[in-house]
Amino acid sequence: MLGKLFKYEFKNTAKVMLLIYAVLIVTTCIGTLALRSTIRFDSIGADPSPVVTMLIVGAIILYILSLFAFFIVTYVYMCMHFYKTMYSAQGYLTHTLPVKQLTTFHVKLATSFVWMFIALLLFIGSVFALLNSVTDGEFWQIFSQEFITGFDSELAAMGFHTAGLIAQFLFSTVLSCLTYLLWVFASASIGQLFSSNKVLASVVAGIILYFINQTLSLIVLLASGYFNTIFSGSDANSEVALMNNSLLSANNIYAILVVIVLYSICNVIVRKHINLE
Amino acid sequence: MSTLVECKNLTKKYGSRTAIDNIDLAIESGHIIGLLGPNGSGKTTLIKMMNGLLTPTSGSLYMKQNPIGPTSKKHISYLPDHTYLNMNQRVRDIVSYFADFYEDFEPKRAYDMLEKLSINPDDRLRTMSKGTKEKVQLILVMSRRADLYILDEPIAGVDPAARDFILNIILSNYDPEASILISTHLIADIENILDEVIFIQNGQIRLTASVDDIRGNQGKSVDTLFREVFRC
Repeated sequence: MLGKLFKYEFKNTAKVMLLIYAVLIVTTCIGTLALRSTIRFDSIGADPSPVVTMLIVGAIILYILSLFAFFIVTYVYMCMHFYKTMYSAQGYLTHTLPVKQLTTFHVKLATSFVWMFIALLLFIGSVFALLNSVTDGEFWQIFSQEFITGFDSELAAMGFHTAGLIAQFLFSTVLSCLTYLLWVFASASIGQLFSSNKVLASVVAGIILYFINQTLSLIVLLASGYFNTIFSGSDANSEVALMNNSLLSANNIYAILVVIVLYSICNVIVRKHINLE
Repeated sequence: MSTLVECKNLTKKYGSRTAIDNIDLAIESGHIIGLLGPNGSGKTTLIKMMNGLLTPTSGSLYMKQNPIGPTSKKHISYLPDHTYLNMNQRVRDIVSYFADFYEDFEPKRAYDMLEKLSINPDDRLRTMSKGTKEKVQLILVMSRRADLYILDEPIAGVDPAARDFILNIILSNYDPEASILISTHLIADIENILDEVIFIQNGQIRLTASVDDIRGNQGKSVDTLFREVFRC
């Protein structure tokens, strides 16, 4: 049953998600072409006509806007799909399937996470592709040589390692994706408990959860001594060391706790308090 | 004959309002049962609890001695009182979906019924009229070999000719060993197919009786008795 749930969940979301990805790829190509054109005009000393200039500027703006919109659209679509299939009319079908309701929830969470993570990789890939293209491949050389090897050697003394940083980045990214998804899923799950105005109740629940999270994360930052370091004017090395030793680990532990709390809210409601009035 | 559904002291409250009030009820196999009551009497709430769409406030609810969950849902084929399918899907895709998830679903029966009604399986639901969508949903529900069919207002909002067709589908597609629980206001249209009735009001069971008993001993139709019991 798990395989079938995944099959249909991916099938139902693939059409829109692949379209969103395709739009980013196309706008990346357009943005790359536009930037390369400006470089080409500069290198040969030509002055493009106002129409061409407008087209180039328009293409670059389109690319930048699409980068911003890309994540928002992906995220909003995932949240809407979750609400529609769990707590609106389609929830009647979802919750009458002969599978555990929690299994259905896990499949929706995992599928949304996969799409979000691919979106993030595409986002990074798009920026890399653009920078690499406009620098005629130099960017990747600079990145691989200066960033990876240079970064490694310079910061190794401070306790940083490239592999560790990449792992840290991936771990934080995974936690962030899960937090953002679970934040909306938990809000929607709380909202559906109400007899009427369920969408409004979900939005209010989301806002309350957001403020609680922000307040607690501020307390974590204060407790970790982050602000003391910033305002005391300490040197860069001690700041980095502090971040490495306390802030990042405290942040990660806090993020893990947030994920656990949000997941627990969803878990209890989905298992015991489905309310499709 | 065996007990399919058993409720004990079942209660459902929405805040301070009690929708289902301490109900004890048993539904046996091999019957067509009408769940009848005025608006807001608790029919849909009871049905939703049987399908796991609402959680009881207190009491117990069992389907073939299993609590409501994945096992009970294997035995129940449920038709809600509104459209609940993905409107962007083609009928053929939804048939595949049902066949994948419900072991007792028979695609051939579904396609036969669709053909009889001249419904193209390649059409998307969103292109269909409200009545056709309802027919598709009923076909999907009745194409299962379930132990209990729960139909919430299956003939509401369709014309009299379509009502006859729907009742015909229900009668010609259910296993005599199974039971059908039909919730409706349109008693006159369905009373000829009912074996038993459950009258529900203000979340409480007012009456459970066989239709033969109502007609034979009381000399009334179910419709007449309903009007007497629920006179405003």
